[in-house]
Amino acid sequence: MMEDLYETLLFGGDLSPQERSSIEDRLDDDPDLVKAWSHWCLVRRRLRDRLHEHISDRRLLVLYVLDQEGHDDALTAHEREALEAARDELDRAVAAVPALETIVDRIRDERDDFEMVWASHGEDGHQHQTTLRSEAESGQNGTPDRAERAARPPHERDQDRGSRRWARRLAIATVGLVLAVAGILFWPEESAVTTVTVADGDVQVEVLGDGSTVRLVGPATLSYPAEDTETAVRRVTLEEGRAFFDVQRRSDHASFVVETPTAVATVLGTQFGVSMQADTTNVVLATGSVRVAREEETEDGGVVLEPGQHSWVAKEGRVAAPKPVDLTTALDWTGLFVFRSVPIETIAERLNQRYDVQVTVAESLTGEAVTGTFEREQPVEEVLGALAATLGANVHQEGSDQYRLVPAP
Amino acid sequence: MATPSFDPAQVRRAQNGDERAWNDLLRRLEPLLRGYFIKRIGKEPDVDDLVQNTLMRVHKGLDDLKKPGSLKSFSMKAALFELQDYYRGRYDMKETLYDPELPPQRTTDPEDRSAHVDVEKALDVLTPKARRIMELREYGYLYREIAQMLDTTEAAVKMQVKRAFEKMKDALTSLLLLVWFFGL
Repeated sequence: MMEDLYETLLFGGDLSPQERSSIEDRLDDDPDLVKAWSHWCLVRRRLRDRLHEHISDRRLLVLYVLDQEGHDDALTAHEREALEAARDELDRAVAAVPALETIVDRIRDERDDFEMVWASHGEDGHQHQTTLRSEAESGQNGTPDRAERAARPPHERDQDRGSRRWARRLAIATVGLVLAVAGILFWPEESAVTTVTVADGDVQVEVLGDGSTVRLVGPATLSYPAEDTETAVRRVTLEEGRAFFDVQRRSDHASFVVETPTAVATVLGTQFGVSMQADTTNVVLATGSVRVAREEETEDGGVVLEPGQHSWVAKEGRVAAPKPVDLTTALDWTGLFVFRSVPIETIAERLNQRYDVQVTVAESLTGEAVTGTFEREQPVEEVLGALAATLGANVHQEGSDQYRLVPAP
Repeated sequence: MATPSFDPAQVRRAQNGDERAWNDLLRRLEPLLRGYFIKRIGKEPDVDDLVQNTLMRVHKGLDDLKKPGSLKSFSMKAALFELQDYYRGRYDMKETLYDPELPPQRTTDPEDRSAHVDVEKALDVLTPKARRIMELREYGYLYREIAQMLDTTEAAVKMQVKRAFEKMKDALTSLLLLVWFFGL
């Protein structure tokens, strides 16, 4: 219960009047916590004041970055003077407040993104990607779920540019052996197609007509039939980016096909991740069965993956032989923990690394294997609770960041 | 595919008050800025305001653009300025609960000496990692953004904050005991 109170105080955001009243009632019973909270607010104010003391005008950080990155043509004469006058102050500030260095790096990322967006827009000001349509236009709810947002891995800008250039080339060229990016060659003109584009750093889960789900990790673009037409083949196209598929097995055994610019993955009912980046498609299989092939290969061609294996197909390359892979690491980008028959003590180690906590396991539970999928953004207590329920165990909290899984009595 | 080329002559005409030239610049800049802010903060309702404010900055500052061919850098600067204002405006320091500047109504002890606790000493309790996270939070970033900036997860960032609060709470209890004991 105290954990709930801390969560609400520290991260609660806007509270309804009822929630606020409930929290205040609970704080009435804990004057020490009230004092601690009051001082926490004072500490935060001090941090804020200190930031302001070191950097009185945030625009100076922007000018600093623009100047460093060769955009001094953007600075007015007055701004250039102000920047020169503040240069020593900025150097001292960055040395005194380490967070400022992180902020400067972020401003550089923002600058890089502006360059990228500017470059991807044409003469008419509209973005020229072959299948880009807004979620509003396609009738989808375009607002990413806040809870779904995952930490972005290091920005692979060259790969982003490479995959976009590749997507544009495919849209122009007539492709015989590889998949058409626009999907025009695949669906009859009269079929309605839904295209979903997810921004860099966002995660969005799409539910398809047959109940299958696709977890898109931005930047990513996916196209699929607007309606589930009960055909023998369910077909989607991942033009770029990464997606984790949870495919529902159909009673008619209709196969589910994921196409990318370089490969085709055919499944019956399974969980797997597909990553289309830098002209290479990578497929990782968690459960079920997947066949990975180049588009021109026959039904007997390509390779069949078993759970815990991956394969890849590069542009104009062959399909790589299946290789075993650590699922949790290989699917790290999904924002999920994916475990398949992993011993509980190994899972505990992963949680220790991810959450910076200490999870131990009673000896009687060691060796117990767990299969499951968890959101990485879930609080560690929730993940442990789910694991304990699976094992018929309990979670004991032995310190502020120490937990132990023990058998239930 | 060519990058957007804004004719310097058109920019100069807009600078000279040619409304048609400015409207055309606006028409072409608007979707570009919208795409940029969606990329940075997602499809939030605030994107509209960011786009409009940035266009206002470009419009107001157009006379300062000495090289009409540098519209990209100029617009970039305006967008980056706008983001900085956006982050700063995110959090209101007035907490939803127990504003520390108000008398602590729920503390009835007239002998309460907690007001004398040194805030600087409380800052020393923070680990460097926790302090950096809190500084970034006070600058205006969301926890998920902080996680991206530090190449970790939002859950790990929040764990650091929670731990810092607990540590500070424990340290405060010890400090108050000392204050009470020595009658400071």
